[in-house]
Amino acid sequence: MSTVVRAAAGEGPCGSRARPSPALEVCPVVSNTRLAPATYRLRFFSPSISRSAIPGRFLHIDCRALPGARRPILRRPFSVSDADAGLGWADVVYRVVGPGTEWLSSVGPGESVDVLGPLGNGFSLPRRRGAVLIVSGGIGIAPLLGWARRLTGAGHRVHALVGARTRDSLVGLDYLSSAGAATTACTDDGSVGFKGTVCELLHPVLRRVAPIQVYACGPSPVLRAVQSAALALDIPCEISVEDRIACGIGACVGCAVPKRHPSAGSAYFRACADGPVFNAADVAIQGDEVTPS
Amino acid sequence: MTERPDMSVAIGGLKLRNPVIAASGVVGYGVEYADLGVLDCFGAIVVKGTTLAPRAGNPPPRLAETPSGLLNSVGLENPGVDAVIREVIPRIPRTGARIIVNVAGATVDEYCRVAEKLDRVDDVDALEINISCPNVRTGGIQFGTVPETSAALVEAVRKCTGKVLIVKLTPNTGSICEVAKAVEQAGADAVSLINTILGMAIDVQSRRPVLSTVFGGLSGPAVKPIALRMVWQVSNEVTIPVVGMGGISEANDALEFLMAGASAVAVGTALLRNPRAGLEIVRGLEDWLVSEGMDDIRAVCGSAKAVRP
Ligand SMILES: Cc1cc2nc3c(=O)[nH]c(=O)nc-3n(C[C@H](O)[C@H](O)[C@H](O)COP(=O)(O)OP(=O)(O)OC[C@H]3O[C@@H](n4cnc5c(N)ncnc54)[C@H](O)[C@@H]3O)c2cc1C
Ligand SMILES: Cc1cc2nc3c(=O)[nH]c(=O)nc-3n(C[C@H](O)[C@H](O)[C@H](O)COP(=O)(O)O)c2cc1C
Repeated sequence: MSTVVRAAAGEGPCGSRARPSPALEVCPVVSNTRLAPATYRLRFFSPSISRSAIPGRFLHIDCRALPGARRPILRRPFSVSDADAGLGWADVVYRVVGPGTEWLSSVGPGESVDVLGPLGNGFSLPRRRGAVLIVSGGIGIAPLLGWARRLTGAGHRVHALVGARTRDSLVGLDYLSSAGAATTACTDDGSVGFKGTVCELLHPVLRRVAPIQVYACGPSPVLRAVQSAALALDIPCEISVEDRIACGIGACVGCAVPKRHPSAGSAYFRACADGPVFNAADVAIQGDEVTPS
Repeated sequence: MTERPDMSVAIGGLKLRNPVIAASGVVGYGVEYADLGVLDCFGAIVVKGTTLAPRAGNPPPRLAETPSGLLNSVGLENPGVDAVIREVIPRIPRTGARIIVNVAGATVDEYCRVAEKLDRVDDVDALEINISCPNVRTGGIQFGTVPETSAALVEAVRKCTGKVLIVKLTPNTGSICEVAKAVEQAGADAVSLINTILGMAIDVQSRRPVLSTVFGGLSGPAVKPIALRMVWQVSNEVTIPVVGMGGISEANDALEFLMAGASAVAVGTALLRNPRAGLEIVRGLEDWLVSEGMDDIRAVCGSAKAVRP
């Protein structure tokens, strides 16, 4: 059959498969479970969204605001954490950091969320079988939970290197172990696992696991460390980047991700349409803004 | 069936099936929003600012949310007019909405060459000359703030195209009415306003401006009262049609602009959160006309002025 060629996807280095049009849908909330003091898993019902909800793609949610707070002018992007096309649900795992996520944490079964998505490209499976390393910092764990499950399901051996500030912000370890992933955890304060950051453990873990592919999501310092290690060792690596996202569908070019190899007149990818997952070799990781972990 | 009111309006010689336009920049080239099935409703779409050569745009961050507003500093990122004509315009879905191309440049000559090229493209129904982008030093703002240079630019572009010429005005000037009158005299078929208002935001944690360019253009509900006032003033000064925009999110906002003297309205920022906004506004205007027992949207234009004591 013919493949649908979309110019928007043409430049996208990852997940180049043809994408179905996103849904714009008001979806019933199945559950909204507190996983840790400020971290929740929202599960909503949408057969059409769940069908193409590959972890790493994202869902653009119209977050309202609690009384007294300002309603955000833009939707809020959240990675697909996991989805089940058979049962028709999709999950996002999120941290409460501001008015939008505060509102989101207040919705429950019987209510609904207005979702645009899935958007963007999502992670892609390694070309051959082998050991795979996933690296996360903070809430960057979200898309890697479902992705770990898909990797082990496809027969890959998965090792997860998971970092967070403290025990209170470390989530998903049970999910990873039930997915069959071996996990190394670290916290800044040593309350769980190694005392320190994933950046400090990265090289020893890379040597030990000898992965054929690395996937990473988290704050810029984590992405930078993973990128430079993977490039130095010549290991294929996909990273999910964060930026402020406005339209979410590639139209407004508000979310610019610098290319590692810019050309005249073309220096940026669009995080929303060309990403949010990129080959580590293609993007320059920006900024020192620290996303709360 | 009850009769639906006549929603069609004319911008210069260009007839639109309804007065609701998708504003430049926000809907890109329309392709992405068409995939969502939310473009079919518009009277016209204005595709993003197009320049002679490709432009990479500004470094991130390009966006900052403010109370009821959005600051952007995209910086006219676009693949250049040749690529737009070759690769983009043929892919814009024809839904019955008119296609208007927003034109930007740094020099009179650049504007003219882009206009000449677009003049030969059948699928382009009109040009919107952006003399008002706040995000590029050479983005035309020097034209849009001074009546004489604005007029000289429009006069030159007028000679390059027979298409309907809409001139987009900047609010970042003390003399928007003078600029409007000058471009009318220079041959503009219509004016559109407002483009974004120059503003900024600071991240108190990092003690740095949020936008890489320090300043950016403010849009959204925060600018609506200013935009409305300017549409009122400009429509008093010119006889050509006025396209009003700035913070329109629902039918009631659109009605305010029409009543202030706009012949048509454009919706930008509101589409980012609510892609259905265009659809809702078109339906809302129709329903309002029906509820008022009116059969023609054109009767709303400027109606708030008539009842002044
Ligand atoms: C593709 C993508 C996927 C994402 N996936 C997830 C996810 O799975 N789980 C999750 O918890 N979060 C995720 N995020 C981040 C999430 O979108 C933000 O936390 C959310 O928008 C915050 O909204 P708010 O209204 O609660 O807080 P806001 O008031 O908007 O923000 C609170 C604080 O965080 C900062 N901030 C917000 N968004 C960003 C950003 N994108 N980059 C840097 N700083 C920012 C603000 O400046 C502010 O200081 C993702 C972001 C992107 C772009
Ligand atoms: C992300 C973004 C990009 C824009 N790009 C352009 C542009 O390329 N050319 C232009 O004339 N106006 C541009 N604008 C301005 C809008 O067309 C409109 O004039 C302004 O945003 C006010 O309307 P609104 O409040 O409904 O958005 C842009 C606005 C936004 C938010």
